[in-house]
Amino acid sequence: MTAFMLSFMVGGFALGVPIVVSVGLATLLTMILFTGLPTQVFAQQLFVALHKYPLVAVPLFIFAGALMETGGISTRLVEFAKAVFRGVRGGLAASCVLTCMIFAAVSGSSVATTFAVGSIMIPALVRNGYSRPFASSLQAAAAELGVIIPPSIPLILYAVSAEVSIGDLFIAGIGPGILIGAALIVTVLVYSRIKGGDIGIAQNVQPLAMATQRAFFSLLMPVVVLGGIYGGIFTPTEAAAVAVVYAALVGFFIHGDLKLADIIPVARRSLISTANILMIIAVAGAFSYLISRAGVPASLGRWISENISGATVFLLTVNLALFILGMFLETSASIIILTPILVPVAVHYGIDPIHFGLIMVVNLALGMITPPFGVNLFAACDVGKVSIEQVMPSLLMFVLVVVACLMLITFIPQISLFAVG
Amino acid sequence: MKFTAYWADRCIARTTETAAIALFLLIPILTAYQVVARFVLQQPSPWSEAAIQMSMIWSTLLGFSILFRQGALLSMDFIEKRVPNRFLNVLSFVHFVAALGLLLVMLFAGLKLIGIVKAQRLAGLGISMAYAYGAIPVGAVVSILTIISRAALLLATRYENSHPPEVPLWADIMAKGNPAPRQEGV
Repeated sequence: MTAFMLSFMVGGFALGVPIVVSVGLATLLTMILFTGLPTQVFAQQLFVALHKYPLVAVPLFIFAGALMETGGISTRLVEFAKAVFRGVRGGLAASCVLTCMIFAAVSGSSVATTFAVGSIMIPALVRNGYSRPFASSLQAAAAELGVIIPPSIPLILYAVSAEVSIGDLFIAGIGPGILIGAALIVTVLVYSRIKGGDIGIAQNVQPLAMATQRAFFSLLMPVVVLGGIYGGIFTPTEAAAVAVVYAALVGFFIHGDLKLADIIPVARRSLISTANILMIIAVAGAFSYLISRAGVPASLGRWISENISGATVFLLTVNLALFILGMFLETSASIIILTPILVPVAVHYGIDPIHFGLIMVVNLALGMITPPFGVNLFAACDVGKVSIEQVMPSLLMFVLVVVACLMLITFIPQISLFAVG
Repeated sequence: MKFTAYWADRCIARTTETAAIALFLLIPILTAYQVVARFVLQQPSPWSEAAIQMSMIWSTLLGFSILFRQGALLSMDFIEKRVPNRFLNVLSFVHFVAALGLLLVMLFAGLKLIGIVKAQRLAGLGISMAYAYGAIPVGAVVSILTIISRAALLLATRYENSHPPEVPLWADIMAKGNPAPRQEGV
């Protein structure tokens, strides 16, 4: 049964059938052919998967990200990051990573980060002598931080399926996010030194004080959103609504880049992203219901604990499996389907579920920049106007850097857990 | 025929999009209201949480039809970008049948489900659960109408020009001829 369901789903993916339709039909046919459950159960599971209050943060963070992109917040963050690395060799590439880190602290999606930051940074990098493939692959790798540094949509989805605190997961995302960001910055600085890339006297860079002043309200946004959550002032969902209101107010009144007429198109674009992600979550919910009902998590858990000795081997295996699965599976679907299977086993090996969440999300974030199915890589190639084949060589370097960070995150739990209460 | 097809297509698109976007905008408005109610009015709202969830579910299901119209459904499209038009047409026909199959089950199973749950009440709002679960069959029917009206419109207008269209028929019906949509994943 499970084999049928999986092969039907993967076959659908390969033929280019939309992911929602592949997962939905695979679940439905399995239900009809193997279980004798009435089809109403399928419809009911779609609803149950969506009827979870923490999920409301997903459309809100998507909307907030789109408002920031339109409302001039990303432009100011780029200016600020450029000013920080003013006069440093390779500084422009480093400022691309820094902008993504700050943007990630208000956006929950890496694709949104790619579009918001990449549309400004990739042309700037190309003007300063970086190759288009290098600029695009750097942007794709740095935008991954969008889902690692809180707030993060995949972390919300993990929290919902693993039944852990979103707040704790968000705090745990900070360390890994800074580690990967710093590693990428060091990489591009060293790379520029060796290759003799941009000499760092980029023109039109504002002095730091001025750039900071202009970006003040953009830089304040992570403080309001994350501070509000950690200070216990509002729930992550409410923080997401505060982010929407804040981005709209700053865009309208302080930057003046956002017009009333922009609201409907921005809402429409956000609705399209939301519907795409949430419909995948709905069908993945039904899929994972069938898998659990068939006892797959329990038997897989038994198999793993009989055949894999010790937490280290388990973590290595899980990393390898997630890395490969992440290349082919869509991120939200993977989280909804895999979390209920893997978390009990991880707990059995004494791994903290919060720490495990970060391992999963960093891994799946890697999947987003690796072909054949890497939404974030597609986005970066789209913005950078290059083909996936062209970016492969320069992407490899960044993937290896992130893999090295992933190993550190996996085997040093403190990187994630140092600040979790 | 052409006029009717055009009118039907516009009508379905406008109504659904307006409703979906209005509901989508309600999500931040109601959530912000919830924060204000707690901190400023000092009176936590008993109904807002349920209303926010309903706005999200309904706007998602209605928004589902926009994905079909725009060809914006997330998929692994590396094969269809590399095959000749004739094969793309066959693939797109498979996608059409698969999508229609899923939507039809969502419609009929959703209707049966409504019959089962209509006596239950939705906590917080006090309305029948049928209004909540109703999003599934309604979303499905709107998407079905979108696909069918798009197909009818294309069939009616496609061969007006003397030179054959660049995108094969079924690919056009599945909106693959649209300018590449943004990949809207996380």
